[in-house]
Formats: sequence, structure tokens, C-alpha cells
Amino acid sequence: MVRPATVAPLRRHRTRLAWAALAPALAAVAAVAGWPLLRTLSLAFTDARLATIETARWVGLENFAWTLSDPDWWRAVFNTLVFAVCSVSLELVLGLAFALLLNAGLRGQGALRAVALVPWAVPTVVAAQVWRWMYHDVHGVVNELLLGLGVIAQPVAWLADPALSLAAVILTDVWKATPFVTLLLLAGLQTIPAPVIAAARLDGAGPLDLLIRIILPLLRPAIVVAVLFRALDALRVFDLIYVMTSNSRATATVSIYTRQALIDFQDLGAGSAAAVLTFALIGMVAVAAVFALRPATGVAR
Amino acid sequence: MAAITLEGVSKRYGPVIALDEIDIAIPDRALTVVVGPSGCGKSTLLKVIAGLEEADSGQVAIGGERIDHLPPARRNVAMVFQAYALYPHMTAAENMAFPLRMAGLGRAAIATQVRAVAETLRIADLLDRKPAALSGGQQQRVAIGRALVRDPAATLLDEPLSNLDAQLRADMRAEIAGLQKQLGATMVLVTHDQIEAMTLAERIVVLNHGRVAQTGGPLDLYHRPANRFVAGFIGAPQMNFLDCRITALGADGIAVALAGDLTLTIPADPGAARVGVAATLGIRPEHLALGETSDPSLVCAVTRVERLGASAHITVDSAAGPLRVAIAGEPSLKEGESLALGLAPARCHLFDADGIALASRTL
Amino acid sequence: MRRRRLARIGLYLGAGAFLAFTLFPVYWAAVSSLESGAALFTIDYWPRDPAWENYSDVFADQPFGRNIANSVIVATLTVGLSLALAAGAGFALGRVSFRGRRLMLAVVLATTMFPQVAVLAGMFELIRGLGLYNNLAGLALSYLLFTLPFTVWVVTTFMRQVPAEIEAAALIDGAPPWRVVWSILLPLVRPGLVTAGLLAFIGAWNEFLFALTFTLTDAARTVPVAIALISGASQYELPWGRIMAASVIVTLPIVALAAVFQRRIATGLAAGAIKG
Repeated sequence: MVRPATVAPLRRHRTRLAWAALAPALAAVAAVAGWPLLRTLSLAFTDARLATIETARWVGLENFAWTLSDPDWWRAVFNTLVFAVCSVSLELVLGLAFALLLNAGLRGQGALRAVALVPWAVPTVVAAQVWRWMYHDVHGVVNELLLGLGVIAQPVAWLADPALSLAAVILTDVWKATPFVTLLLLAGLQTIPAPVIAAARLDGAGPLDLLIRIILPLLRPAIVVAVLFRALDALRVFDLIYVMTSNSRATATVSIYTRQALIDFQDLGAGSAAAVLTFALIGMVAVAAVFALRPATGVAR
Repeated sequence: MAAITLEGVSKRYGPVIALDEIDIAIPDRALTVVVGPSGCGKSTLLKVIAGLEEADSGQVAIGGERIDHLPPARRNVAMVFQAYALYPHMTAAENMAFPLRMAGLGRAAIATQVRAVAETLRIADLLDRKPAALSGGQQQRVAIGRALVRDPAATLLDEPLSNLDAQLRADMRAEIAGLQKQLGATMVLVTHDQIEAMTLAERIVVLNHGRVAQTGGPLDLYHRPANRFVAGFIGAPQMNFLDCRITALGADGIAVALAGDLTLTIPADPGAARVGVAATLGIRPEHLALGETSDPSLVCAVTRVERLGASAHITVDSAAGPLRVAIAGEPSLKEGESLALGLAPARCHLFDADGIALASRTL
Repeated sequence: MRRRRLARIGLYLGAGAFLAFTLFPVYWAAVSSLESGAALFTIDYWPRDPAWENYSDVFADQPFGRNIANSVIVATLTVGLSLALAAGAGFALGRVSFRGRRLMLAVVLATTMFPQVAVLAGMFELIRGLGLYNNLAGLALSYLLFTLPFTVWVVTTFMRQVPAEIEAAALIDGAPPWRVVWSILLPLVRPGLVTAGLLAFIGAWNEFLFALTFTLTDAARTVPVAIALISGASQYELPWGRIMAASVIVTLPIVALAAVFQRRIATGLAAGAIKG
């Protein structure tokens, strides 16, 4: 060995190694998340347009004032919240039902689980197009089925009717995301030890008691996580709505509104203000959910 | 092969002191066992020697050369872990070849050395198997092979036998001792099991609370424990301890009085002992004699008899306190029966209030 | 006994409903993709007269082959970049305890909740500044926003599960740190890398917003954008048969991947979520 015999103390050496290994990922996070977010923040206080970023002037809170006084913005906030609350609760209820079903020891469970992955794996754009076709007012299979069953008397323009379009989009999201919730809850169910269930049965718990008093409390961490993940996704929904109903005010969400301002209207200032507000909305929900999550997983950590 | 010396080595984890000013000299080409209860710092000691942990202070040297500033890779020390720590994605041969590959040996040299070690360990037919396809004992051999293959200055074994079942443990114990002799290797084995220590070691280092409680050969520790901790830790069943008071110091030893009006004169050098202070008398269960003898005796009532076949353990109550007695054969004693128990003064150990042995002298 | 049998029947009915709900839209897309002309506009639950022309038209009327190649390139680039970065980060966060470790993990994971639109303007600038506008590499770079948090998390979780003794053994055996990572840790966390890589591939393959915003020309588009923008002779007459054919084409490989690796993906999703 010709190297000098002294090296840095082991622990410090290892710490330096860790930082070196971590640095590229941190740099990437800074580049694709940190910096763009800071840019968005600073642009929100300027009159920048897509073509004139360099000459942008500071305008203070003007963009925020403008956005917050825009009825379209509030419509988008309303749509986003309705979309998130409805789709996530439906997904949770259906997902729980399907998870219990898949955990019930049916034959062909593996196949069912594989099937559950299909809607999750289908690209959102594809899901949007397929459902858009199924919702078609003249040739759509949804109208055909409902007419055949006598639920509706005449064809319905699901996506064109402002009263129905949001519900139609929500149903599509439910189709696409329920499997994800199902798989998370199924994983949670499978961590409940069988003896616990057996003990509850011996103690005389009926199926409903079992569900409410044993399974749901034990499933709480999985439920909270599923809701958190789904809520985050639902609050920033874009693809589905962009493809299914494009510019309809009846379904525009905050993400749609923001991109429209940024790209279609080329108004970087107002768009960035909307982006900041969107981020704040989602951040608040995430922080609330993380706090709700804490006590449940505190022990597991 | 080389001797290992530790001087003034200390290591703390936050408020916990794992090693407290340790001085140990581990001899060359011998099997040294470091033994102590869990949490005594014995694993930390191995990690400090191996370079996996850094001592806060003190020096570690192998073969007279300081190594405490070197990374593990450059200390030429091999280690066998409790859970073997075989690389699960490599075959037995690849596992054993890994240290040689790291040392930059050629393909042919690696193959020859791996084969040689595998034959010594009788695992030549298992070389193509991955760890998951090997039994615990086989994995153990591969782990030992991986350590020995590069002919290290010293081999450290961290509780290597505790994951094996009782029968296999006894076999492996003999095998490790045999290997060490055959190769003339310097080995340091850490265990919490005093029987393992007694049967394996040429030298035993007893650790307690991060300090060396005593160092010596197995029988040294058995016959001349330096303190109450070693006296209680070495030997099974455990030594009996009775409270007593020093009543006189004379040329023939130290006279002590036990509860129940029993006085003994223990043949020990009075040294620093003082009359009137409290002390602890220790006597091993196998050194108590049933029935009247010429020695001072205690009247006892049998509370429990455990018959093991070749021997029996008897628990008794006496005025001086409860005692355990170990005798050979199958006694015809019943619970509740009363008997006399002889305490041979020459078999007794005496510890001062701090637990330090008052120069006991066992015959 | 009768009650149990009834319950059993109920369960199978539920499973049937689940299957129908989950699979019907996919089935319907496949049926529609095989119909053209007037057949498309009459409801048939089985394609009476399968026509494959939609499939050939997709490739004839637009550079769909090119779009598929683009998607493959972007997804592969994304997976490669994400895994390379996550391998280092996973080692640091999963195997070394250093001051700031938890904070760094939190920073990486926090990007999970970043809405894509919130970084759209800055990302646009970044990509244009790097000269990567309308470029596949630019897309792959932007996709790190959503692939890094979960790849880092999955790899970190797997790294943590490797016993400390194995790494110690490698160090004692003389392996330098990079060698410990490369020869010992990475092979041992391979299942994690595969899972994370699959999720990253699927995420990149399906991404729409960035692909829509950061590409301009047909030749640089990925399939989701191409499918969203397929148009017909007039604005009101969309070529549904072709759209369904294109949908089937891009969905098949991804569903096949999901089916083959379903156990991995399911546990990956669960591990990412439950332990988080």
C-alpha cells in the first residue's frame, strides 16, 4: 500500500459517502421540483407573458387579486373539490367492498387481482377516450344499455350537458382508480393476523361487528394512506378532464384553469398565481392528511 | 498471524458506555474467547478490532502495528458473523472467493485456494449452492471458509454458534477448536455462553459493563475468580453467595460469621480486609458436602430436588440463606427433609463489599 | 349450511360485478376497434365482421409508429435515470445514518404532492433553457418529478432490509464502498429496482400533461398525446374506430407488463403506501 496510512475517521467518511451518493438525486429534485416551484412563485408576482419572460415587471399581488376575483377560478375550485370528494369517497367504498371480496378466499383470486390492475395500468388518456366513446350521445353503449333497461327514456348527452358532465367524469375516475384503492386495502387486510379474526368470531362477533369493530380500525392506516394518495391525485386531476370535456367550464378544475392561463392565454403571471393557489390548496390537504396519518403509523415506524 | 493488543479503548453510544478503558492483549496463534452477558460490550469490542466501529479513544494494534485509523478492508482481519452474513446472491464458492477477488488475486489462484479451504471444511461438494440451499451448519462452514480463505492476521467470530441447535453446536465447537489448532490461527470468539467459553478457550476474557472483569485460563477463572461477577458468571449451576461479617484476621486466614451462628476461618491472605466489615462468602454448589463432615456445617431443610440422572441439584434453606447443592448420582432425598451441609473453608471464596475477591486460595 | 351457500353465491355475484365493471370498458374498446363504417354506429356486443383497417389506418394517417418509439424511448430513459439516481439515494438514506437523513428523505418524498401544473412554468423555462424543448430527453428529465419520490422510497425500503452484517462482511472482506454498493447491495435490492423501474415505466408511458406542453411536433409526441389529439375529417366527426385501435395498441403492452409482474406491482404499491 502506497497510500498514506491515515484516512478520515470512519463515521465521517461514511457520512461523506452518503452525501455523495445522495447528491445527484438531490440535484435532480432541486432542478425538476425546487427551482421550477420557485420560478412559479416569483413569476406569480410579475406581468410576465410566455414571450416576454425577460422583460417582466413586478406587479405585486395583482395576479392573485385578479385570479381570486375571477368567477371561473372559483368555479374551478368548486369543481375540483366536488370531483375529489365524490370520486375519493366512491373509490373508498367500492375499493373496500372489492378488497373484502378479494380477501374472502374465492377461487381464482390471483386472476381477480390481476384484473384489478388493468384499469390502473391503462393510460389515463386511453381511459378518457374509451369512456368518452361509451358516453357518446348518439352511438354510445351507455345510452344503449340504459335505454334497454328503461332507466332513461331518450339518449342523454352525458358529456355535453353541464349538469351531468362532472358526474360522468367522476365515474370514469372511479373506474380507473378503484383498483388502486382495492389493492392498497387488500394489502392492509392481509396484514391483519388471522388469529385476531378467529378470536373475534369465537367472542361472538357477527360479520357486521367484525367489519366495524375489528377490521376497519385495524385497516385505518391503509385507509388513510389510500385516501391521501387518491386525494392528492384527484385534486390535481388534469388528463381525464382535458380529454373528456376539454374547455367546458362545467368540469374545468384548478389544473385545467392553470394550464389554460399559462399556455393557452400565455399569461405566465396570472397562470403562476393560479399555480401557487393550486399548490397551496393541495399542500393544505396533504398536511392535514399527514397529520391524520401520524398517530396511526407512529408505532410501525 | 499476529497478536492483537488494545490499550485504553473506550466507546460510548450516547449515554451508554459500551467499552470503558479496555486493555487486552490477545495472544498470537491462540483461541481467545471474550465472554460476558448481553450488553457487556463484547460485540462492540469485535467491531472496534474489525474497524466497523471506531473507538472514541485508545489504540488497537495487530502484530505491533497500530491499525485503529485503517478502514476494515486494510486491517487484514476476517470475521464470522452470528447470522453468517453470507451473500445470498452468490454461491458458496463465490462467497469464499469474494475476499480474494477484492484482494486482486487471479482466477486460478482464487479457485485453488477456495478448493483447499472447502476441502479442509468438508464442503467441497456444496460449492455451487447458494446460501438458501444450505443448512445452518453448512452455512456456518461457508462463513468460516470465507474468513479463513485469505489467511488473515486474525479471525473474529461473533457468537458463531448461537444460531445452531444443541447437537450441531457441540460438533461445531469441537471443529472450530480443531481448525484453530490445525491452522495455528489467531482467533477471537465472542459468546455469551460461559460453557462455550470454558470448553473452547485457551484464554478467556470476561467482560462486564464495558470493562474487563478478568482474564485467564478457564480453570483460573473457575478456581480463582477475581470478583463476585466472574465467580457468579463462570460455572453452572451458579455459585452460592451468603452474606457474612469479618470477625477476625489471623495467620491462618480470615474468620467470618454467617447468619445462624456459623463461623468459618477461610484460608486467605488478610491483605486489606478489616474486622467488622460486611463481606460475601461464595461457595460453588458442587463444593458443598451433604452430611456431617469435619467441616463446619449448616442445618438445612430441603426445598426442592432436581434429578438429572448423572447428577442432582438440591435447593435447601438454611439459617444463613438459601443454597444450591450439586451432587453426583441419584440422592434419596425428599422435600422437607432436614440435613447437615458441610462448608469446606478451603473451597470458599470471600468478596469484599465492592465484590472484589479477598485473595481466595482454593486447593 | 344454506346461509353459507347463499353467502358464497353472493360473493361470486360480487366477483362477477367486479369483473364486469373492471373489464367491460376495455372489452368495449377492443370490440369498437374492430368495427368500421356503419358497424361502429350500431351496438354489437360481439364484432360480427371484424375489420382490421382501423389498426392499419392509425399508422397510415399519422406517425403513430414514431409516437410509440418516442414513448418507449422516453419511458426507458426515465427508468434508467430514476433508478441510477435512486440507487445512490437509496444507499444513503437506507444504509447510512447521518444528520439530516430524515429531512432529506422528507424532501424527496414531499415532491410526491407537487401538482404538475405548479411547476409547469418553471419546468418550461428549464427545458427551454437546456435546449430540450420538443425533445424526448427533456420529457424524461421532467418525469423525474413524479418518478423520483417513489423510486427513491422503494429502493430505500429494500436497502434497509439488507442485514447490516452483510455489508459489514463485505467491508471486512476488503471491498471498497462503491464495490459494496455495486456487488452486494444492488444485487440484493434487485426486486426493489425491478418494482420501482416498472412503476416508473408505466408512469412515464402514461404521462400526458408534460408531454402535451413540452412537445410541439407530431414527430416528438408520445402516444398519450397522439391519442388525445387524433382528429377526423371534421371537428364533430371523430374517428372512433381508429382512436379505439390506437388505445388498444398502447394499452396492450402496459397491461401485459402489469399482468406478468402483478405481484411485484401490487406489493410495490402497497409497500410504497403502507410503510409511508
